[in-house]
Amino acid sequence: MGLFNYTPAKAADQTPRTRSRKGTDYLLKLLSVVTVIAGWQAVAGLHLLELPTPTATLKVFIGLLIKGDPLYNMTLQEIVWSSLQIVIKACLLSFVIAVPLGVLMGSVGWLRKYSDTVLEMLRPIPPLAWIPLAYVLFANAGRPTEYVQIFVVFIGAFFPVLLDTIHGISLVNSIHIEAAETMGASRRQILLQIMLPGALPSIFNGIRVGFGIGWMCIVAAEFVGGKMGIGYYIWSSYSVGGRTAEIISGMAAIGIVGSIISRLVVFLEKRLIPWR
Amino acid sequence: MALILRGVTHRFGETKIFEDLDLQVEEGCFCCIVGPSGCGKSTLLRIIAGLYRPVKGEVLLDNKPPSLDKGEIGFVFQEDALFPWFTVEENIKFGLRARKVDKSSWGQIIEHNLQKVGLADYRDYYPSQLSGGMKQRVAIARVLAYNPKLLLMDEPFASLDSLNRNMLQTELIDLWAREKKTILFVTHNIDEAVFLAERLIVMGSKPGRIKRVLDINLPRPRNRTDTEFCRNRRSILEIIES
Repeated sequence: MGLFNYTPAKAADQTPRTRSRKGTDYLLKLLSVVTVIAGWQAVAGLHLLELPTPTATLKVFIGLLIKGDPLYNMTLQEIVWSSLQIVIKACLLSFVIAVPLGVLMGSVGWLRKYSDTVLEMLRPIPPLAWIPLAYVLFANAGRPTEYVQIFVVFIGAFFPVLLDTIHGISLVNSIHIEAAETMGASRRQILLQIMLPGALPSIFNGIRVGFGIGWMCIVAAEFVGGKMGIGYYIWSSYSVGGRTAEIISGMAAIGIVGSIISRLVVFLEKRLIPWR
Repeated sequence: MALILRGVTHRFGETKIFEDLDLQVEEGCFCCIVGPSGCGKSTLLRIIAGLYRPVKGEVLLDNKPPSLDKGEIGFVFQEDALFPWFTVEENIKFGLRARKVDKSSWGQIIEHNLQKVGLADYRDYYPSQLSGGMKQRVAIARVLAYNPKLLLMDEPFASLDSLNRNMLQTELIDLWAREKKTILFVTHNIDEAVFLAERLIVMGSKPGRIKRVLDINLPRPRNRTDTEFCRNRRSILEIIES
């Protein structure tokens, strides 16, 4: 086929970011951490507030990681893990329900209208406001505390995922749907192979936000009740009194785990959405 | 007669898009529709494809109304309509799956149709890795793969630079000469229309209507700088502006 023996040009190599630029970025990141610690040190040094120094806190933090807390006979990792288990269970449950529901609501007009009113009324209720009702509902269940915590995290993660899925479906380019229709695609094929992948970037955004809110919800849910977990730990450290370094260590653990979750979702997104 | 339109009328709300349109396109004809923007060219193609239902009138393809799920029609869009989450190969597979083409023949069909458009080495590329011209080549291969009777092309080369556009026009004419498909090609570029068409339909706007249908009998390969070519181009411009 002589007429078609043309060779398309390869896309030009992207100019890599220069090394010095990357170096500056690292320096800025380091500087932001240094600023916070220096500010903390300054405030602690003035003895105006009941605040341990950064070094004292770091010692406690490392101690909690290695030897654990003698009061509970648990390391910080074990405490975090017991909260994280609940969050993972609850978030997965909420994604499994919210994503299909969002795809359906985004693509079926009457279903959207049918459920919109109820959802718009439920959405502004803070997840934590569900705690008292949840305790009543699950009072006779086998492990009421755990069920309440799963329920609250579920509510917290549910709406961001649902709304971002609906939004993602509405962003699917109509030209892709028309193209699929002219090829004779079935409704099922359009839903699963056009709308779902088209909405995937937005769905991932919802999952990232949902996990974040779920992680916040577990801390608050454990303040109200629970046996062990990171929220319970910092609240009971306060109740015991004089354990400010333990409280800050617990807060630091919450922050670290939260940002790891967010990075993991972004990493997963890059692996699952290779076309972007 | 391959394609017949009788009294086709369409409105968007109160706005008349076109009224009482009659048209006949013979099998194997390369037919171009030119006209100013807003004359309803794209809407007309979508009605023929069955994407929109006309308010009045009928469309017949081989004496039957065309239906979306029979795969009689291949539509090539102006915009990039490749699915970005599928590779080149998967994009073609989507159409084959929709058409329920026997799976054992997929490999050969994909290979064959990518060769037709000169992209056999690009099976595993994502659309985002291809240039505009390559994307439209894949879009053409994607519809050719399920072997439609009628090819509807809605300004498919409008977003390409002029060199690329000329190249694709030549390739399209070669494809048409070999495959003998009926092609309905919408454009607002008169040069493109004169270069491609056997039959030219000139549309006017407000409301959209057919002003003139004429045959272009220039021998192929056509030369854009040829005196006859330029004379044709001038007379069509006059019809459009009249």
